[in-house]
Amino acid sequence: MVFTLLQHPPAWNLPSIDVACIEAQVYLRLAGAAFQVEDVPTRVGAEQIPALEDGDEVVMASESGGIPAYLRETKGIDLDSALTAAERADAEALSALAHLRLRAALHYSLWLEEANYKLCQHAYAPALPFPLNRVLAYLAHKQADAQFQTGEVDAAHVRAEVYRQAERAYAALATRLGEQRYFFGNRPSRVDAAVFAHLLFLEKAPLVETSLKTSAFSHPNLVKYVKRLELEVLSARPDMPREPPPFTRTPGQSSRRGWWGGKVKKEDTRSEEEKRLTSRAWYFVGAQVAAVIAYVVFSSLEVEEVELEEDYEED
Amino acid sequence: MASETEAASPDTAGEVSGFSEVVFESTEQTPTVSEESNEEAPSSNAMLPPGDVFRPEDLQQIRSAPCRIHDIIIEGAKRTKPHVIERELEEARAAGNFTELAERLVEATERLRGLDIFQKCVVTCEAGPSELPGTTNVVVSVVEKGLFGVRAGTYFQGREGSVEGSVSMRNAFGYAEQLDASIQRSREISNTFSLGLAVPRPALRARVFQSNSNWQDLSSYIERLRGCQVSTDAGDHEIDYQLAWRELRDPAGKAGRSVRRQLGHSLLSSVTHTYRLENRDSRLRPTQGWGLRVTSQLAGLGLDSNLVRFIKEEVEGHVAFPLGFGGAALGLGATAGFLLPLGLGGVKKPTSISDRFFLGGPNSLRGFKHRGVGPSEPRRILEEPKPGAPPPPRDALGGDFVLSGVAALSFDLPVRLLQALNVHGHVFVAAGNSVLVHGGQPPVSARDFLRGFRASAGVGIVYPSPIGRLEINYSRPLRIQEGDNAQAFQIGFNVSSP
Repeated sequence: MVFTLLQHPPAWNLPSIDVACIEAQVYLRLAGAAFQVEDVPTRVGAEQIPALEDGDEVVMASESGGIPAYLRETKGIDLDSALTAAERADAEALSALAHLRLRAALHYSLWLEEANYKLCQHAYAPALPFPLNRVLAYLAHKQADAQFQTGEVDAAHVRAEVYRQAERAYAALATRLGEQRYFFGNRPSRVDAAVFAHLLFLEKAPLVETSLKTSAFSHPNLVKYVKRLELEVLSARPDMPREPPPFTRTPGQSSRRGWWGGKVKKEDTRSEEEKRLTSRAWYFVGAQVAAVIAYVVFSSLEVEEVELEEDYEED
Repeated sequence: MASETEAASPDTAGEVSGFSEVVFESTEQTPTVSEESNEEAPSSNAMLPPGDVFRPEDLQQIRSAPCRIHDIIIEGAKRTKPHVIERELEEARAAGNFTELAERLVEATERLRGLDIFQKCVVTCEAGPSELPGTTNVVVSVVEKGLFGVRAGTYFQGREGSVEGSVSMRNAFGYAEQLDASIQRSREISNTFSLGLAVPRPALRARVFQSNSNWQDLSSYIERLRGCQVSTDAGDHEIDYQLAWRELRDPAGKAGRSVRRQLGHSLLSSVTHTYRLENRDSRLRPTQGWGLRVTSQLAGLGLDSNLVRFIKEEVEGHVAFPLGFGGAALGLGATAGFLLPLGLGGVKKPTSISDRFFLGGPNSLRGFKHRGVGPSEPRRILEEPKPGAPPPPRDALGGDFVLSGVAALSFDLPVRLLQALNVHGHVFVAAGNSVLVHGGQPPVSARDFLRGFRASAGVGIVYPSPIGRLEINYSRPLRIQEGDNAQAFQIGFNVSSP
């Protein structure tokens, strides 16, 4: 039985732009479940993603127990099967630490650090047209604002507190890991999926404001841990079936098609990307205005039919 | 006075009398004609023969006598800008003789009333300056409508009742513009807020809106649209541009495989052209004539390749024949539509569920529930079904290609009172099918498509009320497939006969 993992699309050389999706992938790989990945680029920011499809059934990571509970209960697939009862209790606590403290800190860093937010604006919804992609990024930013109540209490205080809590969590995790291979000895557990996904994100994402990264990688054993697992987990199974994303290009594909079917080369440096987006915005606005005027002036069927035909041939 | 009746009877007078507020005032030179008359000669000393006797050839002379507008005097326009009224009289200014002038003033009055900003609008002619014979001053005397209008109501449409309220501001800036804000709420999550602006010349309507449509019970999703719309019409044509942010979500997490992949955000930039021809004697109870509606939508206007792109075409035709007894008439109607995705990936990717065609319901395929016919899919099973429980609900997916038809025989009911109210009965047979074509669907042959037709037959009572056609039907499905939802009793409401 091959599962299908619905996930937010990849970005920044990460398996997905969303930590929860990376974690789901890592969990499935560590548990040895055969799965294929399907990107859902239009469901930007949706909490129902990641979701694991199993035939007609589906389980969403945000539901209680999430993917691990579903796999354990219905498929007998359990990454934590070798853990003792006490270790399971520890695993529960440690993954809660990663899910609550670390994810909150990363969320803060991504959306409320001005420099990182600029980065997110471009990467957040690449499969959606301007200006919708920017609007959605802005809404995510505003939501983070509300979540951390930065408007109501002293913003600097909130920031310091969030990072301090993350720092303590990193220290606790580093101590717990020690020089072990995984958090519970020689066998991976769901704690590894949660912590590795987070650390991998910090390592790969080109964040400008890096206090979170600095604080995590000040622990040498965490640095070694993420490097080793990266080799082990992400490159160990290159034959992993991967369905081509149905709706969007992946970052690997370098060209995309414009309206008239010509190839529009995708720039790779960010400043140029910004320029391209801006000019695209202006073309867009111009085209809308021109279209409205044209239809008002010519208001006849012929105009429309010409466009229909050209469009059809393009495909 | 005999001449007056004669003057009022032929051609132009017949038209003029329909608009009794168009009054041409009498002048000193023609004391024989009273003020209530619809038609009178303008000031032209040379035109009238001496004496009181008015001969038919004089009438002819008056009609062809040169007459043009010297000045337009506007009375009672407090907010309305003069040019708004003057531009409607532009054609009348070009008139050269009396008949032409009279006809054009009637048309102008009609147009002025069509602006919907005047309570009363009277156009009268006075004699022009005495040094300029053959001229007239047109006096436009108006009473403006109130600035604010409030409207509220409840109605039942499709499958749920809703409450609607709107506030409008009429002609506030004097350009005959209409501003309105409206709210519509239904029992469920569905609601619409919109803000509209309409100007008469050029005929443009703009609207900013947000709407939520709750399709959770039929297709497991809620659609939210936020955007703007600009439309204009000329004769039978209407062009409409829409730019909307569309979000589909499934808060209950019940959607099946296909609908799950439909969720998310998209941006729709589309132009829609609608061509309407209506030759039926009545929209509510047609007994003769035919009607046609062709709607073409092109989505994806813009340079961004990530915009939603498709072509959607829908043709709807109706024809009615009187049978010549008991008020009976035979009505035939057919609808065909297709949806073709464009752009990246082309026909390989599925079309959006919000653009697709759905069949079922009293206005589309009687005898079946709303969205009750066509491709569907099992929903996510959240709890184990108990034995003996009804089959789990399915998600209606809609079709990329649709074809449906209806034949109905309408007749008078043998009750005087009902006949007086125009309440009538009908028997009908309806059939239709819709299929998904794009996005990795197995190809459907024409034969399979026709074989897959669903059909129903039934009887009903129709009340053509002033606001629309209300019908109550009882029908039985003749052909039905697994996954379809039939409905025996249905109440339908429509602004025109399907």
